[in-house]
Amino acid sequence: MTSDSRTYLDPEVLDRIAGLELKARHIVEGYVSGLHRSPFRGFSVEFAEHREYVPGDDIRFLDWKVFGKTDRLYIKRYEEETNLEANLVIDASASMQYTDREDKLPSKFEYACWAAASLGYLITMLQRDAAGLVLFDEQVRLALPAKGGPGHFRNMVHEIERAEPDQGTGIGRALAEVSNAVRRRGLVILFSDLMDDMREVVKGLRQIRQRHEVLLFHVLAEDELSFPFQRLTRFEGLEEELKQVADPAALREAYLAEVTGFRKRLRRICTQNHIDLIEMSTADSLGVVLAAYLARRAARRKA
Amino acid sequence: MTPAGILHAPFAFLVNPLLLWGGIALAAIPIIIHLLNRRRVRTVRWAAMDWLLAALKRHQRRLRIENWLILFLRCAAVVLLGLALARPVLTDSALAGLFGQKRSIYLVLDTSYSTEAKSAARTVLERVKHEAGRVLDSLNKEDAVTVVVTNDPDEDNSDGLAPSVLVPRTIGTEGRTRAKEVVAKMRPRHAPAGWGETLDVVRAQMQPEDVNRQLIVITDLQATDWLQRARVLAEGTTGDATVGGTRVSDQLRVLLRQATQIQIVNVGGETRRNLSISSLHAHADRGAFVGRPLRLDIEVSNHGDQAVNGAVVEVFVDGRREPTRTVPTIPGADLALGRPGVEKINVQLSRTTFERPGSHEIRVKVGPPAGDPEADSLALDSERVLSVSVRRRIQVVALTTDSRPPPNTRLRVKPYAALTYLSGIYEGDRPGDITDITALGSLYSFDAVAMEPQLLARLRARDTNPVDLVVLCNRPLADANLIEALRDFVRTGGGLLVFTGDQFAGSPAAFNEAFHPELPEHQLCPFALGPAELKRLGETSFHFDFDRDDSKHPLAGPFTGPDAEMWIKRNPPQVRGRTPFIEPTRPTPVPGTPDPGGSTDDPPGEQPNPGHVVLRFEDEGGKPAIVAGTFGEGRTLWVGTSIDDGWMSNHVFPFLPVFLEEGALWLTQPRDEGRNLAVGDIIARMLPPGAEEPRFSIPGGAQVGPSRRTDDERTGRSEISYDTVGVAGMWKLTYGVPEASGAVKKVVDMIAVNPDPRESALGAADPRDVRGDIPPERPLSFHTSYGDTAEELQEVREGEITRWVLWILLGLLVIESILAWRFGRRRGGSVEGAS
Repeated sequence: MTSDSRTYLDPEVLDRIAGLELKARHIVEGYVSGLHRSPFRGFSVEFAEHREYVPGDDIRFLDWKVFGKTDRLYIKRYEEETNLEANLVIDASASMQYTDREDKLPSKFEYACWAAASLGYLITMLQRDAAGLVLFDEQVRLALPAKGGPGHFRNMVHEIERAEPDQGTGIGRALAEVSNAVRRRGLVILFSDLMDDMREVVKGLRQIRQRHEVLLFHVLAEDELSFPFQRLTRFEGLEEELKQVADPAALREAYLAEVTGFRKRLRRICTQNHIDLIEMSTADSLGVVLAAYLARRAARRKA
Repeated sequence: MTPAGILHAPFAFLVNPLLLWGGIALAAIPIIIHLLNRRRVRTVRWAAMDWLLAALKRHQRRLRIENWLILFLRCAAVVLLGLALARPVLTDSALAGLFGQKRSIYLVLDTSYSTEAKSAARTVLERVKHEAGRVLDSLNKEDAVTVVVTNDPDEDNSDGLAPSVLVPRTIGTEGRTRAKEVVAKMRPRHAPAGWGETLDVVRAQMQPEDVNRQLIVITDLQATDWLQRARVLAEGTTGDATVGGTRVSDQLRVLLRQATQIQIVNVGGETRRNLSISSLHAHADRGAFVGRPLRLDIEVSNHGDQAVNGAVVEVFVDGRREPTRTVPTIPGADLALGRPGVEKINVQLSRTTFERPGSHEIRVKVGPPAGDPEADSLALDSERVLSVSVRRRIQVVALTTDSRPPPNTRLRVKPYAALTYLSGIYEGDRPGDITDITALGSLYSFDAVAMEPQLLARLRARDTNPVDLVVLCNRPLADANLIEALRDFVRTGGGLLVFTGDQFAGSPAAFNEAFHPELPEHQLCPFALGPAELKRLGETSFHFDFDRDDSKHPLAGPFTGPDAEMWIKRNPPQVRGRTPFIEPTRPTPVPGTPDPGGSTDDPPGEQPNPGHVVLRFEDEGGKPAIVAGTFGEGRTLWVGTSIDDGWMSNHVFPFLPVFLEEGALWLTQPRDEGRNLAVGDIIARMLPPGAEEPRFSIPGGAQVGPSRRTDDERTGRSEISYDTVGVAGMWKLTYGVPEASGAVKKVVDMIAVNPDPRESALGAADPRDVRGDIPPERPLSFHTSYGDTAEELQEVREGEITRWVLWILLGLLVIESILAWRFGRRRGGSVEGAS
C-alpha cells in the first residue's frame, strides 16, 4: 500500500467492525451519558441501589418517597453511564516506515493509521463517543483533544494522512506526555512497533496505565516476524546510523528467537498491567484482526 | 602403473595427478563464491536492528564457526572430487589388498618363427598358446587384458617383422573371450622377434588407469632375439653377450617403473638343437647360362652343442632332385659365443641342369641323420631357396669402324679383333682363368654395326631382339637420338662399354657433349674426358697400373692374384695412345643410382660413388684409365684408350680377353639383382613395355597384386613393388607380355625369399643377461610355466581407492547438507507464537 493510495477508511474493515462496540472495560470519565461506566454516581438515570443514610451523606440523594412511606432515610444510588474518551496514540517514529522486502504490504505506520482510523470511526461515528489523536516519535508531535462528532473525526483522519514518520522513537517519554496531556480517565489506544528500549517502554506503559485503560496494538511487519532474507544482506537502521552485514539464512533462527523473547516479555508485562495486547502483522487482514479483538473483548466484558 | 605425475608418495600415487591439482584449484571456488557474495551484498533498511544486533551478538561465535565449517566442508568436497578424478592408488601391499583386486594384464606372446620349433611332440607356439590360455583363465571380471604379439599376424598386409596389438586393452570377460579367440588363431611368422620394438608397443598400450599392471611375456627366450640381435650389430667390437641385452634390459627397466611386475615365462624347453641352411649362393657373380655348369655354395649350420654326423643335404632344381649329399660331420655350436657349427658344401650343377633360359628355382634342404631325428627341431630354416636367372647368351652389339664379321682367330689385330673374345673365349670358373680359349660363340651373341642409324634401330627393337651390351669402339656419337636411346638403354638395365683412346675420332669436347653434358641426369659417363695423348715411336708407352685404393673392384679381379701380379710385374701392360679421364676432386653423386662399383664390401648405407676408377695409368699420379659408372639400372665402363693393336701386343694381350669377359659379365649383371631377398625386404621389379596383369604368387597359394606400380611413359616400362614380404619360400611374379603376333606371352619370374638365418639359433638367453643390471629386488622374474607364477600373479600390490574417496565425498556432502540445514540454511522459519 502506497501513500498515494492510502485511505484509512476501508469500507470492508468498517463493515466488519460496524456491529461491534469498543467499550471501556474500566471506568471512564465522560461529560455526557454514554455507553461507559462513569466514576460518578447521581448524574445518571440508571438506578443502582438504596442504602441507609449515614451522617455525612449528601441529602440531595435522599429518597423522600421511601422516607414518606417508611420513615426511614435511604439514599438512592445510581449507576451512571457516561461517554468514552478514547485517545488514539500512534507511533510515528522512523521505524514504523518499514514495509516489506518486496514493497507489497503496507508499512507498519500505514497499518497502524489504518487501524486507528477504523477505531476512531467506530468510536466517534458509530458509538458517538469522543476520540482524541496523538502522534509521537521522540516526543508528542500532534495531540488532538478528544471530541466527538463527524467534524472532529475528519480532522483526525486529515492529521493522520498528513503524518510522515521520520524520527527516532521515544516511547517512554512520549507516553508520559500523553498521560499528562489526557487528564480525564479514558481509553488510550496505542499503536506502535515498540522499537525502543524495553525498560522505557514498560515505564511509559505503566505510567499511562495508572490513569487509563490501555489497548496496545503491537504492529510488526511480516518480514520482522519471518525474517525471510536469504542472501548476504547489509541491514541499515531506519532510526540510527547502524549498519550490519549478516547472513540472514544463518542468523534467522537466532533472530526469530530474539523476536519471540521480546514478544513473550511484552505479553507478560501487559498481563501484569492489565493492558490489552493485540499483536498485529502487516500481512494480517485488519478487519479480521479488529473484529476478532472487539468480539473477544465484548465477550470478556459480558463475562 | 604409470606414475604420470609428480605426486608419487612411497605408499601411493595418482593416476591423473593433474586432476588433483585441478580439484585443489577448484576448491578455491567456494571461497571465491563466498568472497563474491560478500561483495554482492544487498542493502535493506531495517527497523528491528536491536533484535538483529542482539541475535548477532549472542550467536556471533557460533555463526563464525558454522561458516568456517561449511566452507571447509565445501572446499574439502571439491578437493575430494578432484582426488577421486585423479584416481589415487595405494602402493602399499598391505593396504592395497583392502581396497581392490583389479589387475591390468599385458600379455606378450612370441610368434617369431623360432616358435615353430618342435620339442616333445609339441611346438613352442603350442606351448605359448597353452600358457596364454592359463593366464587368460585366471582373469577376473574386472581385470583388463591387452594382448601383443611380436609379429604382426596379418600375412597379406605385413611382413611380420613388426609387433602387433592383437587385443587392445579390454576389460572383463569380453577381453578374455576376444583374447582367447585371437590366441587360438595365432601362427608363427617367418620373421624374428624384435623385442625392443615389441616392448615399445607394450609401453605405448599402457593406460594411466591401469592398476596392478602386470606384464607377462611368454616366449622361448631365444638368445638371438633377446640378446644377440643387438650383439650382431656390435660384432667386431665385443663378444660380450650383455651387449645385446642392454637394450632389452633398458626397456625392461623402463617397464618396471610402469608395471608392478614382469614375468617372463620361458616355454622354449630344453631341446634347442637345430640344423639349418644358413647360406645358399650360386657361385659366379657372372650369372648362369644355358649349357654351362653352375656351382652352388651351401652352408649348413648346426645350432646344437653336439656335432651332427650324417646330415642329409638335398638339392632340387625346378623341383627336380639332384643327387643327395651326406655331410659327414657338422661341428657343434659354440653356445658361449653364440656361433653355430658350420659346414660348407659345394654342389656342382652340370651343364645340362638348365636347358632353357629364364627364372629357375633351386631349393636346398637339410635333414637330420636317420639316427638322430632330434638334431633338427625347426623345419622352416632347414630349407633355403635360390632364384637363378639363366641366360642363353649375352647379346652384344658393337659400333665399330669395321662392321665385317669377326674372324674366328685371336691372332688378328684389327680393331674388331679383340671383340672376337666377346664371342666366347674361355670357360674357366675362376676369374682370370684363360687356359681354355675355345668354344667360340658359346656365350655371346655378337653383332657389329658400322652406322649409327643401324645401332639406333637395333636398340629400338631390343624388346623383340634383346640387347644386353653395347660396345662403342673408338667412335664418337653425333646423333642425339642415338645418345638418348643409349641413355634409355642403360637406364633400363643395359650395359655400355666405351673405348676412347688415341684413335678416338673426335675431340674430347664432342665426347663430353655426348656422354658428360652438364646435366648430371644425362651424364652416361661419370667423368669428363681429357685431351688425347700419343707416344711417338721410340718413346716409352703408357703403362696401366692398378689403382691401389680401388683394388677391390670386381673388374680389378682379373689383374689380382699372385700369377697376375707376377705377369704384370714382368710385362707391364702398355699402350701408345690414351685419353685419360678427368677425375673430379669430389665426385658428384647422381641421385638414385646404386653403387657403381658393385663392391659388396662397401659399408651399407654409404652414399654410392657415381664414378669408380678401375684402372689408372701408371705415370703422372695415375690418371684414370678405366672408369666404371652406373646410370639408372645399368652399368657403364669407360676405357681411356682404344681397342687396337696395342691391346694385342704381347704385353697386354693376356689381360684384354679377361677384362672383356669380366667386364661384359659385370656390365650385364644388374638384371639378376633383386631376385633373392629376405623376409621383410621389398620386391621391386622392372617390367618390360606393355607388361600386363602382374601378380605375385605367395608361397602357400595366395595371389596378390603389386603394392605399387609406376609406369614410365617415355620407356613404356613399369616398376612394380610389393613391400610386405612376410612369407619365406619361392614367390612367383607372373605377367603377360604382348608379342608382335598379338599373342600374350606369359612370363614367370621367381623371387626367392628366405628367413633370417640368425633366427635358427634356438639357444635360450641367460636370464642374467636379459636382466642386465636391473637390481634383483625389482619384480622381474623368470619362470618355465605359468603355474609357477600363478600365485604371484594373483598378488595385489596396488589398490585403487577412488571408490572409497567417492564414498567419503558422498558422506561429506551429506554432512554438509545436514549441517547447512541445521545451521539455518533452510527457507521458512517463524516467530514462535506469531499471529
